[in-house]
Amino acid sequence: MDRRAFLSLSGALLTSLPLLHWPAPARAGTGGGTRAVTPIPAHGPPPETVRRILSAGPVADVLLVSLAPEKLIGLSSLDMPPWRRKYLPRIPRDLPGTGRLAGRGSTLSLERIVALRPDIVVDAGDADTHFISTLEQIAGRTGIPCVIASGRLPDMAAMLRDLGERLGVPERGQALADFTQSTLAHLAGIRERSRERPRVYLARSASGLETALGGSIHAEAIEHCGAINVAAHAGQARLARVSMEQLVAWAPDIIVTQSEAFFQAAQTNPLFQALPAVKQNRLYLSPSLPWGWLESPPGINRLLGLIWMTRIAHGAEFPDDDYTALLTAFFRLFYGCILTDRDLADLNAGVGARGHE
Amino acid sequence: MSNRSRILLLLGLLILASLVSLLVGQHDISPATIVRSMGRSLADLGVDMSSGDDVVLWKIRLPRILAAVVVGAALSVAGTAYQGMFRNPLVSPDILGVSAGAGLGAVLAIYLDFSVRVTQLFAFSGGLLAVTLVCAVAWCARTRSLILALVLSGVAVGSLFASGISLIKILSDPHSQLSSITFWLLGGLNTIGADDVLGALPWITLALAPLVLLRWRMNLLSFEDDEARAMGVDVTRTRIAFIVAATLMTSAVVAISGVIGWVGLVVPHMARFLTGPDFRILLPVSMLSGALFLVVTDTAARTVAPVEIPLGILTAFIGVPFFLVLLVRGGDRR
Amino acid sequence: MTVMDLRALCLGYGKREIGRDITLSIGAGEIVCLLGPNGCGKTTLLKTILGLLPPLEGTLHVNGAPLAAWTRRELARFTGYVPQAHAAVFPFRVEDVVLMGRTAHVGLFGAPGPADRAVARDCLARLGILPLAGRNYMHLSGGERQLVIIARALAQEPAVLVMDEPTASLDFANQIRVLEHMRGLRNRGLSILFTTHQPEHAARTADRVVLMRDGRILGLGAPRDIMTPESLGRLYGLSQETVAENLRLPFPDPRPVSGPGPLPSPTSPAHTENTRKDSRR
Repeated sequence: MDRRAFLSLSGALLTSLPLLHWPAPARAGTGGGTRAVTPIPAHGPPPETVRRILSAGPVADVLLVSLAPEKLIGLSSLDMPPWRRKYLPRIPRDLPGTGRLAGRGSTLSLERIVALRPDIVVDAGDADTHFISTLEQIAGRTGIPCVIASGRLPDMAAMLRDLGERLGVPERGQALADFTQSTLAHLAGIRERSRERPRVYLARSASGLETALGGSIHAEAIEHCGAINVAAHAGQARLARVSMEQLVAWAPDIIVTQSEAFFQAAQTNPLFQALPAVKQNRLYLSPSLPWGWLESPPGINRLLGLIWMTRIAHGAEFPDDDYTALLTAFFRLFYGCILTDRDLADLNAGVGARGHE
Repeated sequence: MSNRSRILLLLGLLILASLVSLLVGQHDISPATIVRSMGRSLADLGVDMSSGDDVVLWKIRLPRILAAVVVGAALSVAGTAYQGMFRNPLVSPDILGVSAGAGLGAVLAIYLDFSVRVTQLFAFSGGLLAVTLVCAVAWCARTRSLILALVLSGVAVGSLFASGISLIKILSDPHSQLSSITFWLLGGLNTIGADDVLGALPWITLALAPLVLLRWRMNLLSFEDDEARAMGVDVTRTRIAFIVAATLMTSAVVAISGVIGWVGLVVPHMARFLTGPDFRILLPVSMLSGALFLVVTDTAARTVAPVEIPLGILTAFIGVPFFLVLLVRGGDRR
Repeated sequence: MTVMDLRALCLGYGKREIGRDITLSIGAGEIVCLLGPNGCGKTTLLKTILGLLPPLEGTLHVNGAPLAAWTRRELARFTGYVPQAHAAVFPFRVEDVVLMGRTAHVGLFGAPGPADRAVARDCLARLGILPLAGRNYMHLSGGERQLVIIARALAQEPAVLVMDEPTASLDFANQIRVLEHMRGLRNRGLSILFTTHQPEHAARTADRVVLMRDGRILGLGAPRDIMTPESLGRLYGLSQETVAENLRLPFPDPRPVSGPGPLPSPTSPAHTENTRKDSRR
């Protein structure tokens, strides 16, 4: 080809690249008019008949372990290591791992679903059109009703109440919802009293140079606790890689991560050591048991992350006793686990355990 | 224009592009500060780690530009070597499954929550393993054409490893690991530091040596094996030396940068377009063009948006149309 | 002097035997032509002589030494190979293609220098194609390519040229041109072994013709002695009449009584079976 054609072609392509930076299409689930719970078909089974519940994904796992563990016939996680199981005494030892159903990469076949004979399949996440149509298809083919629970923090109390009723466990749903509501209110009070608006960077992956942009469910705990996500304006509601240089330019006050590998690497990496947040010992490794507190999966477990983030961002207004009391109450109520001081230390729940001492 | 002046021109362009790249970035540093900082560093040969500007300039931006130079040069040289020894201008360094192997290694390491360093090690060994496997299979099936056997087993082993990648994607945590896996497979230089480049450099130099030493013999490989043999070349040994060198080079680079596609295919073409197919000149020209190409694209990748544009996407945006035009125009005007 | 000496040679690929009991010697400065139908083992024989295919049985001496004792590099300086004119993959310049013939004269890690370039240009000049030096090999016509490939083989400075159907797929003029060059090279002392599907080319050019069929040598001798309608008919599986009808050989009578043929006749003993004895002198 001649040089001019090649140059003009590549020029046109280069100029179209900023399109990549355009915001992602608005999701149905992120707007104001969300429904906390979306049943498929429109009226689910009568609540009193729901005895066998199948979880469709990791987010629903967390939800169902808290809400109706006795009715669970399978967890989506294929394996449950003992150190995680330790904090989830309600899960029967022989509960099978059944695989993921919808969403990215399904490992659960329709035949297996029918064979498991669930009364209902529960999934969680933003109920967008694609997601709903996927579950409609599954419900249509298997004849088993499905339900989608919203994954967002502000919807959480309503979702727990609604889902509790639909699954025939209204009291539990109510109890969890009440706790969620009062905790959110309590944390909001702390947030309001505190003048702090720290700028926070969420370091994902072993390199730490992957983050969640504004509005992403992965950064929700950060944004909800009154901190500012430094990557909020870089794009919308997705995950992205950033350069070290961008991180230096952002100069976050606080860095939080859930990656043990990154946390270790940052202790010796001179570039991270030069960041003000790390210098001031404000690099925090989020606890990750029984599930990640900040994200992974982005479910109701993130209420713990919100408590933890609020403690980090507004420590002065959030005394230790208050903090550990909330954590203990959550573990007791949601996971059925009585935390000892030893457990709290094991969980690395204290936010004093940071950077390097 | 003589070959020497072409090489000097490319070198000049590369230095210019690197200097421009040094001036731009997310962190604002004025040219005056850069000059001052350069002077200071030259004076006491040290970097003031307390100064943000200095850290960005010497510890982040410069290593990254260096990485672009090394990665671009290595991928292009590997591509040139592969195209020459396979007698096919449409061959890229992935032909023997390096990328798929390295990808599987890296993805496995990410899945197992290993550190960045271990991930690199896995990727490096994965790439070498895949090519070793391909060559072993081809060697057992060499009764017909060794090249055909290599290409076929490369395709087969490559897709086997790609399936392995897909399997791990399915098994991985969709909310944390999957995104890391995707980003790794799209390639990028955002995580590369000076230590990564220094780690890969010995391998690349080691691999470059046979290519430079046997540069003339590469030309003969573009003829039929029997012809080349009749001209006094030990075709099999020469080809093995090239495969080992090009594979080592690609693996070392892919381990630190992830899979950056199309550079190894498109740049050798541009270089051949500039100087013709004589490997003696093609080698330095495609090295310099590759370095230039990646410095420019990576500068775009890190400055166009506040978040990174995956480099693999950017190179594909330029590489795929180029490849298609080439395919349509076909013929001999390479 | 004998440049190639084949005795009771058995050829083939691995276990698959293609040729058997082949005894032949090629003297210095003679043109030997292999004639035979498709699949008779001509190409296999060429490959074996070039050291590309190990002989299954028998002995093969090149310039007095067994083939196995030659390194590839040494052999390339003694034997040049001219394959059939072919398309190239990369657009090398003609001069660079010819320069590749110098590979056996430069070190393993070296590249040809100015002296080699001079040899290459000289080879182009000898074939009268020096003006093509700067052209793209891929853009040449078939005839030009064939000459370039001959120049490349000459650049190896060999004593023997092995040519695989050097006139195939060339037009009439180029066929004549290539055959003339072959005679010219022979006159400068080169030995040439070539194959062809056109008996008249063999008759015009070769000093000796080898008739090959089913991997065996049917006959061997000077064209006018051996290229009778009868023997050619047997060679190609045709009737004597069909051969006589379709082929006009430059010697009207297969058993000439006297008089020089249209070709300069090669010196006597070199083209008979006693070549070997002769070369031992």
